[in-house]
Amino acid sequence: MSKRLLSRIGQSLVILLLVSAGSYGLIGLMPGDPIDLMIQADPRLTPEDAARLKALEGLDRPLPERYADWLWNALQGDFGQSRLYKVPVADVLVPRLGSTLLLLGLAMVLALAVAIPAGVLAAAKPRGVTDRAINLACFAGVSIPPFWLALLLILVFAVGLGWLPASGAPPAGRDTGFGDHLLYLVMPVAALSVSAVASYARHVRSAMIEAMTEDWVRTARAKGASRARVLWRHGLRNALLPVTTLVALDIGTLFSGALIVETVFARPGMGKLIYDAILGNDYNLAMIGLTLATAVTLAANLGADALYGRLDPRVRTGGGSGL
Amino acid sequence: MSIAVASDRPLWRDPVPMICLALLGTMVLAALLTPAIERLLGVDAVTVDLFGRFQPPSEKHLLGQDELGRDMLARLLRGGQVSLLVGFLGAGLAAVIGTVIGLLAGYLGGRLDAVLMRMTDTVIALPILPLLIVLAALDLGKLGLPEGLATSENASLWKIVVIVAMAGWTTTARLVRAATLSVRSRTYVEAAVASGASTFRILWRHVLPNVSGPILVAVTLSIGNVILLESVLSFLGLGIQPPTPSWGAMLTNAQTIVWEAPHLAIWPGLLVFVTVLAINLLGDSLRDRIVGV
Amino acid sequence: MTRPIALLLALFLLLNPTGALAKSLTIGLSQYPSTLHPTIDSMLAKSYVLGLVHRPMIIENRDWEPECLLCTEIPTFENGLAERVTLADGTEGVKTTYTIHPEATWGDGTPVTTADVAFTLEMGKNPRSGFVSTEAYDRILDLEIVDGKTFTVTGDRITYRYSQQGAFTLLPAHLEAPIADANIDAYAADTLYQKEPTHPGLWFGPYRIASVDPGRAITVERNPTWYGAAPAFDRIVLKVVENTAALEANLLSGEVDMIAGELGIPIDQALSLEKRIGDRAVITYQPGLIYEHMEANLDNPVLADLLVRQAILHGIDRQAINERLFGGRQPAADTNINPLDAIHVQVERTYPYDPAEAARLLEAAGWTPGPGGIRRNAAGDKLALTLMTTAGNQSRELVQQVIQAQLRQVGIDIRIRNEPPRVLFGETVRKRAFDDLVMFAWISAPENVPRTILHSDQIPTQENNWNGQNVAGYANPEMDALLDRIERELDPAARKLLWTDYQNLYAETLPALPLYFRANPHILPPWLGGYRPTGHLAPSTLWVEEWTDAR
Repeated sequence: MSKRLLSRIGQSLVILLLVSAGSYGLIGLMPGDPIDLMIQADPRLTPEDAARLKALEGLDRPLPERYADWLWNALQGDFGQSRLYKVPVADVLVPRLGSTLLLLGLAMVLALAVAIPAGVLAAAKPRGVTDRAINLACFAGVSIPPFWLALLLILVFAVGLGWLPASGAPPAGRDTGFGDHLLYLVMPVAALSVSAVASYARHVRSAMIEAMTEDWVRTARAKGASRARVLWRHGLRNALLPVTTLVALDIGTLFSGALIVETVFARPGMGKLIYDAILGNDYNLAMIGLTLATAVTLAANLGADALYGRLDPRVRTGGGSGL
Repeated sequence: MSIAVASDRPLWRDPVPMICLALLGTMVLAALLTPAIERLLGVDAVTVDLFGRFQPPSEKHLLGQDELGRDMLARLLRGGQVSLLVGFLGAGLAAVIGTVIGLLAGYLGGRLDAVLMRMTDTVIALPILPLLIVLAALDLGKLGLPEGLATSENASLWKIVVIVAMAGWTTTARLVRAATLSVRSRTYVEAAVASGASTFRILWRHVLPNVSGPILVAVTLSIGNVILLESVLSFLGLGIQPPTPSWGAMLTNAQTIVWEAPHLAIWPGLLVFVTVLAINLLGDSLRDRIVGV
Repeated sequence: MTRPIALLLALFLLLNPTGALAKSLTIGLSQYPSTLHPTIDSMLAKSYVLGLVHRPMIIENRDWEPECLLCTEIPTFENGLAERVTLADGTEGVKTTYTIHPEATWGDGTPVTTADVAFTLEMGKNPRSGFVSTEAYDRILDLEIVDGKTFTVTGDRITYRYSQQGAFTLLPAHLEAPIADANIDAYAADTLYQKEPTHPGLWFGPYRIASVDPGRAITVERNPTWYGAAPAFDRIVLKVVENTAALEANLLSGEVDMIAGELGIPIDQALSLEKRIGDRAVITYQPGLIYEHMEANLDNPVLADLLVRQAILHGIDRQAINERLFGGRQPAADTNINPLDAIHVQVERTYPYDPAEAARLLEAAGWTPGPGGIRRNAAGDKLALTLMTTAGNQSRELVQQVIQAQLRQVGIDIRIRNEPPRVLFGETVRKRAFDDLVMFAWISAPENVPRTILHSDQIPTQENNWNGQNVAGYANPEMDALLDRIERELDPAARKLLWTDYQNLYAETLPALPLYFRANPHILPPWLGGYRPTGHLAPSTLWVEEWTDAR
């Protein structure tokens, strides 16, 4: 392991710590508490009851003290109880994490399946008609509000044609095949992939253009290999590494997209869970959600960085590569 | 990479950015002239007509009526004012933050550069939306802000401007840093350094004017992002609060009304889409010419 | 790791129903209960589930009369089960005697006994137990165990609800006492209701919890030890879908058979659903005790003027709001007493939509038309009021904007400023930090005395540590006296006369501006019979054994 990688890991841990402290503090700054809401919903409850219950949950202690406690326990692997669900946070999180990872995974695979051919085609003849058309489509992809795209899909395929379920996940407690499951995934995956396709295709295109200028690609061309063969066999192989890196760097964005898509399609997933936990003052749940999302993103970046850095000495200097 | 045929052609001879510019001009004009348009059509965005809920387009209401019977066109115009305002203010604020960071990193270099750029990369990579939700859920009134500001009807607008700026400064920082790096070694900067000018003075008088092009590009590109982000947060119920309309906020309840009045769900999103697309295409053309990637 | 495995196993069993002919019912809910512990946390979702698996001692039934669900007879002075006693401090208290149903048995075969009563009371009196409300237990001075099934409690005061002073929600002492004894501070987390909610010994209702899928579903199955009539369904699945649009989609696709009215979809959504639902389901709109209203901050001199409050009410077309937004299901309220309540009378002073009258009242209060159509007083101040409500509540936000538009017509400038519920209720309302008007709902019970909301000693202040719920700051000696007398009057007929005075006083002096009572849409399959919503806090599931299946 290189010294540089070690220092990057160190930096990532510091970032993780900062993000966790920052979010804990911000959640703590939000006024009011769900316990106060209970008074509203039950005529038998009094403000004394609310104060007593808050003290029982330790909410009367100063924020830094509570954060230190949380951090200490978290470091020992104890992420505490969820206030909203009254069970250890992992019990709530694990099933939802699975759902979100499935959504993210499928969206990523679909996006790559579309973006790689599109990017290669665009790079085949830079500034040609195909390139310009693909580029326009990419701009449309990153400019469309994701929640509106999801609404449009619902309008067309659920309201209009009635082909797909408007929202939700397959029913719990009933016999459902994998086909049913897929049916519920079609629109969320489609909605999530569009902006990913757009940014991936642009990555593929620029990586391809760069790869095509490499000496040995030129050599292959000089040896008489057909243009298509050079493009797909030699160019793409060389472009894949930088593309993988950029895709890994885009995970954070994809996760934000998952939050929106889960909200519109009412899928029980991580994004929705974090949203509810933040608004419900469920510290432990919100913290594990935010920390996990950040950690996964940072780990992906780190991995990409390590991979790229090892294989291509030019990026070892780090930082600010312009655009 | 631009969809322009050739970037050496002057901007005004290239049809794509010109179409975008015309479109955006129309949007801004419509936003500025909203009161006049409302008077002309005899409608406004606030009059409630409980008997006209979900009515399809008619002669009086060109785009139909919303869930409270308000005129959809007037609501869209008012919403456009808000969305564009947030876009410009947010991108402006983001540009200020990004420029300061980019200038410092590019000009001073060394450790500071490394730290600032690492910060920038991190912000780009983080799952930003969940973190912004935490910010958006804060209540300004309890943060010791001046009472008048925190409790005004526009409080949600100022809040969203700050929030989107905190997410949107990274593009500017990177572009400005790159440009500063190339300006730093120019003779006039070196001459200024030799004459003993202060760092601030050099940055302000010599570097900043020469990186204004990249800043323009960055601002353009981030206006689109900011409008998009505002619409997402408002859609989630964390951005612009009713009765102020914004394109995103108008879609907050769309999931329940898609069955009853699909037309209500189409317009606001379409406007966000078209506006952001036009801004992005324009920004791309500018980048091609000014930064040259 | 054992929990996920157990869950998977439960799910696996669910996916492979052994009895193919088993009758089952799937109910859609929009909220998942945070706990199934009967006395920790207070949530509608929990009481809905508990209705199937647990029973309170006494509860108001569907005719809004108290009914014994676990006891054998309601104690009254007439039947001799209640008697007045003089307490040690010389004041008057009351002794009431209850007998637990002889066949009531926890699902593991242990009878429900007075030992459970003693344990529950002991826990209720312990502030560290995490019980959501302790006042009812603190009022009990003494518990006398007569035998295994009969007990007597002594209460520290006589109120008109004396019959229910010992009507506790019981916990199984044989399972829970060792846990509480081990560490009372960890009880809320360690209780079997958390650790093993499928333990049969926790339940004694017609059903018991069969499996729990956190956040998503709860399944109940027949309880063999149930002492009442056998319910029609072998199994009931409670499926939770928090997004109401998705809940609706679940109904349309047949994934849920019905949507609970207590915790289902909002009325405006139900009205739109009704148009395309066909014969798949029947929607019953049950008016209830959720009182939507606007509180006015009476410390504000503008709103302290009764004429202004009356003008505001005359200036809002509550009838049109009801007809256009709520399909006529939520008629305007005159006071905070629901027309379904036995104590309700038609008050003399009502406030129909009358902009001319509103204008007249405002003139009389010194607010004359000013520039821009907004009224001003002699000092030149604009009649501008802030109206707050819960951000994100679609229905309230729509009504709020209608009110804004309508009050503008009579020259009042309404400014909207909303906050998320936790801020609004946690800070702004509780600490009376709203400037002018705030719109929300109080949830009440049948013949509930609104002492904490209207008595002048219940105004929250910094000095009293924000105690009380009289957030308007309403202080009226006449009202104070009435509230005290109603609480102490034991004769129903005499009480009804006092309630009449109360309602007229409320309508005359407007401590709050009444809007309407919310109606809950219960969406039922056509083949479900015997279902009757209550309209108050008691969930319809408490009478699940009367539901029939006509399939």
